[in-house]
Amino acid sequence: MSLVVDIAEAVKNELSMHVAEFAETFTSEVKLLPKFDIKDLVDLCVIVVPKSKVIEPETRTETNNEIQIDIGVLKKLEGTQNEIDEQVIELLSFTESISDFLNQRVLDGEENARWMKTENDPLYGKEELHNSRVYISVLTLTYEIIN
Amino acid sequence: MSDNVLKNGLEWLASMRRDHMTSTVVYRRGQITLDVPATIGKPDAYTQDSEGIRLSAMTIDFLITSYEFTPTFSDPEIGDKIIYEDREYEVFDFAGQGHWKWCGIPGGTIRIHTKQVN
Repeated sequence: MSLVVDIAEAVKNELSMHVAEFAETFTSEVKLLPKFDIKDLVDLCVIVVPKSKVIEPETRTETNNEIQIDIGVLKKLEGTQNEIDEQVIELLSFTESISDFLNQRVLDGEENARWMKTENDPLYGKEELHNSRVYISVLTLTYEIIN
Repeated sequence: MSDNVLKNGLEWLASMRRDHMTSTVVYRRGQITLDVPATIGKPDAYTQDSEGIRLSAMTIDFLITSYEFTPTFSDPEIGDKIIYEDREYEVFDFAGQGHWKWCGIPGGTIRIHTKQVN
C-alpha cells in the first residue's frame, strides 16, 4: 500500500485503540475524499486523511520521506449562541487532546515513522461555524521516515 | 399613478401566493413555535469547502408573509428551525448573502434561506 495511506491507517488505529482515553465518544476512519452532508454530522466525527509526501535525500544512500496527515474533527452544533460557544470550547479541548495524544507517539506497526510536528491553524473554520453551525478543526501531523 | 399600478399588482400577486401556493410549516426558535403558511422554494444543492473537507446540504427557501411572522419572531435568525413534511431545515447564511431578504416589496414577504439538517 502507499506509504502515506499506511501512516494514515496507523494514526486511525492509534485513535481507535485508545478511544476510551478521550472525553468524547467518537469513531474514526480514513477517508481519501472527505465529503459530508451536514445532516449526517449530528454525531462527533473524526476522519484521517492522507495529505502529502515529500522525498528528499538524507545521505548518499538514504532518503527522507516527510509525510503529512490531516485529522479532521467535525460536528453539527445546536442551540443558542451561548450554547454553541460552550460546545466550541469543549470541541477545541477535545481537538487538543487528540493532538496531545499523538505528540511524540510511536505508531503501532509504523515504528519507523517519527513524529515531527502538529499544526492546528486555523484552530477551527469560522465561516462554517457562522454559516452552517458546523465545527471543523483540522490537525496536520508531520512524520519523517528515513529509508 | 403607474407606480401604484405595479405596487398594487405586486401586492395582489403576494396575496395570491399566500392564499393558493402555501403549505403550513412549523417555524421554531428554542421553545417558541409558530404554524405559518409558507411557499416552498425549489430545492438546490449547496457545497462548501473547508480545509480540504467538502460539506454539502440540500437548501430550500421558504417564503412567509411578513405580517404573519414578525409579531412572533421579528426577524429570522441563523439557527432557527423550519419543520416541513417531517424534515427539519435550519436558517443559515447562504454563501455570505445573508440568511433572509425581502421578496418583492420590502415589508411584504420574507424569503428565508435554509438547509436541511434532519
